[in-house]
Amino acid sequence: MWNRSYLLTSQLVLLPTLIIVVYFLWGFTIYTGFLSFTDSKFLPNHNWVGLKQYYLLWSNARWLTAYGNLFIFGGLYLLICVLLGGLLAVLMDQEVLFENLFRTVYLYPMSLSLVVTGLSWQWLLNPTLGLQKILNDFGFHGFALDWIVSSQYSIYAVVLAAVWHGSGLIMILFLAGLRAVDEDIWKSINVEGVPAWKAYLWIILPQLRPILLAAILLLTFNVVRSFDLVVAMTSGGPGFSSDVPAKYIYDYFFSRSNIARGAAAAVCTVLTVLFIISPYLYFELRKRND
Amino acid sequence: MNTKIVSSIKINLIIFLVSTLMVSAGNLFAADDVVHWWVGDAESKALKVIVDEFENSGGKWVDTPHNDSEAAHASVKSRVIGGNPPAAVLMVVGASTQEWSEGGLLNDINSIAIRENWDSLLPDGVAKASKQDGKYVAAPVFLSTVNWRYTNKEVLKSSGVDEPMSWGAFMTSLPRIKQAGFIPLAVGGQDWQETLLFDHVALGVAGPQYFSELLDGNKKTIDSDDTTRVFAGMRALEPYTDLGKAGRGWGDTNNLVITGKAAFFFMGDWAKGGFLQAQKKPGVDFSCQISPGSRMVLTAVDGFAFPKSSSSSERANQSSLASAMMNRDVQTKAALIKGALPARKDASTEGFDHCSQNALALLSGGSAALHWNVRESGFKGVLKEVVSQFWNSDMSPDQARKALVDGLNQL
Repeated sequence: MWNRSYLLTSQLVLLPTLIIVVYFLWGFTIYTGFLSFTDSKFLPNHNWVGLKQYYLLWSNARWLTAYGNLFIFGGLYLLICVLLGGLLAVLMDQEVLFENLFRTVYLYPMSLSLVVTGLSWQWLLNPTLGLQKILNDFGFHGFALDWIVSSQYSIYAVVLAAVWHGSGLIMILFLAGLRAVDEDIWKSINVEGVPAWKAYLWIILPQLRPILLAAILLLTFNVVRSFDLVVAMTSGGPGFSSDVPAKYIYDYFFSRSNIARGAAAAVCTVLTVLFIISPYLYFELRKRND
Repeated sequence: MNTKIVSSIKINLIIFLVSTLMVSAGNLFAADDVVHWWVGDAESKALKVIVDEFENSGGKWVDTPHNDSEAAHASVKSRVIGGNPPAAVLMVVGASTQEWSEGGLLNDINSIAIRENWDSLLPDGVAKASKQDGKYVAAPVFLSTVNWRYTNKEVLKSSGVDEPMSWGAFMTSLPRIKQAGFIPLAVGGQDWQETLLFDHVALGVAGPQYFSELLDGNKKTIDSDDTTRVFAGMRALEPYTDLGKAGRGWGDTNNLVITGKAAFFFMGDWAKGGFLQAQKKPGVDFSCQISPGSRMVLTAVDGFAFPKSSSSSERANQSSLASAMMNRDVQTKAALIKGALPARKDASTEGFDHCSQNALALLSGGSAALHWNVRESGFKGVLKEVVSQFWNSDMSPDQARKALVDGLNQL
């Protein structure tokens, strides 16, 4: 009896959240999907036009650039953040002097908003104001760092700023994991005389898989909503060379008054991310349940 | 059994509470605020003139500034649809106010317009742009002139160049200014700034007749060799710009000319305020010319629109806002500060500097056309996208022409 009323209360308390999630998340997601099959322009309408918006979307040069950048940005950001964060964590695990100081320094970027990050890096990378000018003034005349003004490399400038912002967090996650490794394992490693780098690579790091999963999930969210950093740093430019899907969708919804095309782009983005991330999640979570 | 009934009553109650909350939340926060993006130094001082007039007549001004028009319009659109509209929103009067009005997002302000006889106070073109289906849906405040070339006279003198008054003379002056160690042409890095540059090249290379047909969306003109020549003319300017242009806002770009680092800047009349704030004298320290050689003025009307709301107190508030914005003395004073022209034709032009007088003379004598920024968002979106893509890549002029034609066909 006690158990039943307890269960009932908890269900009642959760109900409003459930309604809100169903209405705002699933309701609006489905509605967006529906709008992508209409010819909605300035305001949503219900004139069915089939796959026309998808055809127009995939023949639009700006979308193709933005979609490609999702992979360049996402791939490099995930890879470099994880590698760099992991390396920093291992180095930090060697009982370095002033560990607290280093930890704070590496984690500091995380406390800045992406808008501040974007603006600072915009200035640092600007060839007429930033690093290039300083080094040239010091006499290194051959030095060129003009990624941000080149339409070929601008997306890599965004990756640089994002990695600077994100790798500290990954370091902390891995460091927490390393500190939780059982003392006995280290003892047996020492007894066996295994070199430290081999021990990390083959024994310690494989135990951190759950942490890797958490890190990848956190970073993936940042990739999908990579809007503020791009807007603050390059506003998608030069031209639209550093455009990303989130910015494309926003522009078509609001400033271009083309809701249906924005909705089609949103559907394609969500499906892409689902296709990439679900098999990995499925694989990881099933293994743990076994 | 009992618990089941009680629980279903509770559930119904909660559903009821949540849904009423959702509906009423919109009206709970209704505020009679005015949304705008006049946050620059001169712009905000000009706005203050309107605020003072409105508050002296008994209103209460609630300010909601934004950084740019796109963010402001995105937020107002969601607020109107969500049932929480502001009292007024700054807009480029013309296609966008008509688009909003057609979508049912605006109140008309025809009653106050008839009472104050706006038809006789405004130039015909401005009155037409402010109406939808014969009713006023916007209160026009300023007539902006968009195609100005600002020149730092000191830089020209140091380079040994006379102020060029034709496109050909302009092009030959650029290498000499570069040789003297200045940035010949200051350009910003946003698509709309790049497209303002396109305006001047089009007027200079292909002429006013071509450009007004392009602005009308004439497909034959757009798919002509003239378009290829204009894009090629734009490409020819690239060696005379600086590397720091990527992502640069118009204010920073303007400063390059004000502080004597660059010679020329193509921008609308709102850039003049920056020169005046820096104590530079028009005609002495700097010069402003409307696309030299073309004598065609591109104009836009800045004004306020009044989002849909049904309460009569809000509608009364909107009427008195509109009346304050259309006040003759307010428009004269604010236009002087902002460097624009007043929308009303009976406003005094005394005290206007040589730039504004120059524009007035051309408006009455030369040809005028509505700028692309007054066109519907689809058209100007494609134009800005193609121009910006061309300018920032190694696309050929022919490819750009094709991209423009294709983009407009897909609208």
